[in-house]
Amino acid sequence: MDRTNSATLIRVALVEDDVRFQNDLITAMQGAPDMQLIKVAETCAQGLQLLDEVCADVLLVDLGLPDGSGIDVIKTAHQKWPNCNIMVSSAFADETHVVRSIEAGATGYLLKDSAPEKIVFEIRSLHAGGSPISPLIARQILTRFRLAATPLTPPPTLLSAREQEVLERITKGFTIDEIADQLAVSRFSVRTYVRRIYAKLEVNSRAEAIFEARNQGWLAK
Amino acid sequence: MSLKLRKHPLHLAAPPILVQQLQELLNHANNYVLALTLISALVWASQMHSGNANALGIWCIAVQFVTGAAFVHAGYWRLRVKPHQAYRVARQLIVLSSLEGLLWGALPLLAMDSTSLTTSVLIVSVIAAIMGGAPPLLSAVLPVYVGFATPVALGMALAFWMARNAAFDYLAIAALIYFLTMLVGARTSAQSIRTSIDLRLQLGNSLEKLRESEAFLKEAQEMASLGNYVLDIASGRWQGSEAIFQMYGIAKDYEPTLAALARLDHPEDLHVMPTYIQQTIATKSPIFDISYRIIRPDNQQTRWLRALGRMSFDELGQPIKLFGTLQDITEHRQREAALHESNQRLRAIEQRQTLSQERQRLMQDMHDGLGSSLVSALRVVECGKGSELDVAQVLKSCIDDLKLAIDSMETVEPDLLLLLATFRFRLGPRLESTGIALRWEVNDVPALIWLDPKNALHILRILQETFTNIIKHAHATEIRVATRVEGKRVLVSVLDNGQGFDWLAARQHSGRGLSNQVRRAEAIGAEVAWQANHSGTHFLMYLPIQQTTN
Repeated sequence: MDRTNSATLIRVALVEDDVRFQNDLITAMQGAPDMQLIKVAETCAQGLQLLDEVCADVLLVDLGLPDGSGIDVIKTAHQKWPNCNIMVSSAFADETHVVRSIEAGATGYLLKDSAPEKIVFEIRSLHAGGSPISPLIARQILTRFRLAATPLTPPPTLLSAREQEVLERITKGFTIDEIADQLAVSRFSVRTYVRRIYAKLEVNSRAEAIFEARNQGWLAK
Repeated sequence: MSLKLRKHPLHLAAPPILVQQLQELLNHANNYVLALTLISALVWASQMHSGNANALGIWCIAVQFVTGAAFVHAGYWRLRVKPHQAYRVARQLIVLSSLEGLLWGALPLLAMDSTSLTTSVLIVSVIAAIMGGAPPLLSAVLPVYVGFATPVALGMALAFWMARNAAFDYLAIAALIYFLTMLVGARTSAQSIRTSIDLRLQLGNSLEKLRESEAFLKEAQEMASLGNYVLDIASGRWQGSEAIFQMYGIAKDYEPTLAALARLDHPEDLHVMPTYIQQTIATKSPIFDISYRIIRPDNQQTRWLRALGRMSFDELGQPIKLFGTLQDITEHRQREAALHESNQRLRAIEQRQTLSQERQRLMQDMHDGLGSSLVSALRVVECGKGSELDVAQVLKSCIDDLKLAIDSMETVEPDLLLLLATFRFRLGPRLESTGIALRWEVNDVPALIWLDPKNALHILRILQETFTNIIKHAHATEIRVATRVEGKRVLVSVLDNGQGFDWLAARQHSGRGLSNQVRRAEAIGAEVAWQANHSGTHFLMYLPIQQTTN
């Protein structure tokens, strides 16, 4: 069972241009007393504005915004609200977009066609410290970390043996529950492993960006 | 006349050398003809009033005759002797000189008088002079000299001996010694002439060979548009083969400095060469290889040149010279560029073809799956027969179809388990909602290199069909998915605990469902089978680990 902080209200903010999904979310959260939708933004610009106005616990960002990529919103939100959990919403959640969002600072993703219960479950889980993952995403992350160490980049943070193990089992098709049983840990622990993996991915990506920016700076001379 | 091939003093040399020797000899003919004729006339004149004047007169005429013959002979053969005529001419000369020798040898016998001292002195001095002058003239071909000198010496000695005067006896001996000394001297002289002839011939041969190889090299360089050069680093002056001038289109008197050549550089390649030279000096690189463009001053053509070279350094590490080759590679570059372009075009064509194939494949799949599902959903709605739930189901399965299609396109790894994992991830929730438990009992299997998006989609569709059948017909509560290796194949097995359906009945019921699976399996070289009994149905899919090319 996930440990949910039922005492505090989970403040959810949404950056989404698709009205139907907005409605889906509102409907879903109506059935969840521990959540509150505090603000909705419909464009990238509005989203960035939102970050100055309110403070949310969970931020849902759509990648396909009309006036820009949600990645910018994710990056800014990660900077401004370090304690906020950012979730990227997508129709298909193809791993390239998801991994890119994670590198920008997101800690979870959501499929737009999920059932309302699932949406609420994911938000709760994310707020509690767990992160969702799929086999293809796990595979991409494994590849990312394997290719991380090159002479042109700074030394990256590497996965621990446990974390590697978890990702590999996911790529073999085992569910979080099954992996929890196999590794004799709780289901929640497995989801926190995933959260840690995502954090490492973001750290590496940030370090690489700084490294490259410095290089560019030198070259510009 | 038999040729003595052993190296004894009187042998005749081989024709090429003999010709040179005869040439030496014949050249001297002029020198002595006049002298001999005059001397013989004077000798006769001096003895006019002695008893043997008549004999001497005949002797004088004979001398004139033979000398004249020798003169004419020499005049004819001088500069005309060919190697195949050499022996003949040599023999003729030996004969002539022997005749002359006999005549002059006869002179002491004819003219010497023991009573008249002056006469004797005269004769002796004449003979001595002739003997002394003979070696330089005749020693080129030693037998000719010997043929001449021997009768003269013998005649002299004989005359002395017949004079029955003790003093003359000693003179005879002296004469013989003198003759022998002359012989040795003549031999030495012959040897040195021979050596100089040998050297001259060798030099001629070497020069000939050198000229040949120079011409050959020049032609080769011209054919390859390749020249060689030596550049003196300090002064910037260079020397090179003719091909370099041709390549640059400059005259032979063009200023031979690097700076002057640099003036002919293409505007975009200015100073490429001098800069590169500086670099090579600075890094002491053993490799010198640079290509650059020039504009030829003679026809304004732009040409690509490639310079290869090697630098030589002195003990202090300072560069002295650059040796190397220069080649016109304009045509080569053009061919390279054309090849590159045609490669690019080929690759673009290949890419377009691949994309077009992919498009077609996807359109086919969508048409078969999604297309027909959406149409049936539309029919249901139009007829109003089905419930909203039915329509929702159809639409949900359409979305699943689409997701699987997208997942199949993401396939870049030949990892079967990843494919199955993705399948479970996509369809797991739907399965859960039906209340069927899923036991995932996969084992590691080797990589299937042939697993590309097309084949991956077939496998996903086969599994999708299997699961759909189970959900719809089997009334099962549990599905077990397992993988393992069996020989050269990988087995994917789906076991349900349902009622074990009738093969034919299922076929009729679900339309083309089962035959679709067989068709798809064939398309990827796999084999599908069903085993049914009362406790459930076992679906088996055998995938080859390596595809045999069909």
